[in-house]
Amino acid sequence: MKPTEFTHLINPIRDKLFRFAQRMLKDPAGAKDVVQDVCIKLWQQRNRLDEIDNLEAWSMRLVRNRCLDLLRSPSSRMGGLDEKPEESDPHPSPGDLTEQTDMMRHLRQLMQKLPQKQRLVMHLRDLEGLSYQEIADTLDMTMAQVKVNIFRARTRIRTELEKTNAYGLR
Amino acid sequence: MHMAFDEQKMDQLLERYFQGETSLEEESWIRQQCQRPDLPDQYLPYRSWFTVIEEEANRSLDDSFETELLDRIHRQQRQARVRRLISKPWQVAAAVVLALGLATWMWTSDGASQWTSTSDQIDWSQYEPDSPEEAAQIYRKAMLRVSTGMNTGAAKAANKLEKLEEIGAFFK
Repeated sequence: MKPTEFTHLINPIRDKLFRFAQRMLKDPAGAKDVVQDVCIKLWQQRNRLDEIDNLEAWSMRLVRNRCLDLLRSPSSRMGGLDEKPEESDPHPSPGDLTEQTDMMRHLRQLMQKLPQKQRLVMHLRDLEGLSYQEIADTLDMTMAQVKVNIFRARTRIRTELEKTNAYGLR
Repeated sequence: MHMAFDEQKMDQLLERYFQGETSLEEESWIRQQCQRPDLPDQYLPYRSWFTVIEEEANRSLDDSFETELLDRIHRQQRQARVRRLISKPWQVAAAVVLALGLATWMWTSDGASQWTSTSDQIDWSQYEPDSPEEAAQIYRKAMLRVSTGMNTGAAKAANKLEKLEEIGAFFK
């Protein structure tokens, strides 16, 4: 396989891998490096790529494992392995949420501050449109764990949205 | 033309969405409804949420990614070639010893004198041509032999130089 043939194979999934790595690491530059590392690993195994049933799912798992290695390394300064929710910013007052863009910024921050499992399950479901079974396979979880995490993540988002609705904001 | 907004269905599906019980198709329907211009006010915060999802899902790598990846792949290929070369040290060592031995033999006085002494023992008079025609025939044969072997050495040398340049580029 030639290098250009390999990049054509990778191109359809590379942005998805990048978004997933970014969601895990909360760092765009680090996420790009992870995707490069994973692509190099796939290149080294290029003669066996035919044996892989689902290249996208396989690559997502490689990205996950690489990110976990980085997050667990002592030198890591990335904050993605938290299991407890980080302290949110103080709830915005009604006066702070007078624009839709402010609301969207707040939701983005809220999503990024969810515990890691909730954040990743929500990412794979709502952004990438994976089935619960695909999410379970990618994240090494049971279906029940996936459902619990998506429920908790969405409940958190809903609480914020309903507060906003109660204020009568748009 | 849009159909009338179905608030009852929207409420039911939103409830199930937040319980994590909707299918991908139902989630897609909710998103489409949230983009409608006639979306009732009570659903506007949900529009913000699904817009965030839409924007996040469109994030992509920059154009330099592919170039950088190809650079890394080419660098890997060069490293692999050098590793293959170094992984057979006995072959390299044998070639070096052979080359050094040959050079030593060629340039020592014993080797040179052996060539000289052999040359001295030949009776050159028996190879003298008897006529100008015979001399011309011998000359033609010699020239033909030289022309056949011409440039083969140059091609081999060019090939070796190319490999040396690749190794040199790796160590830069």
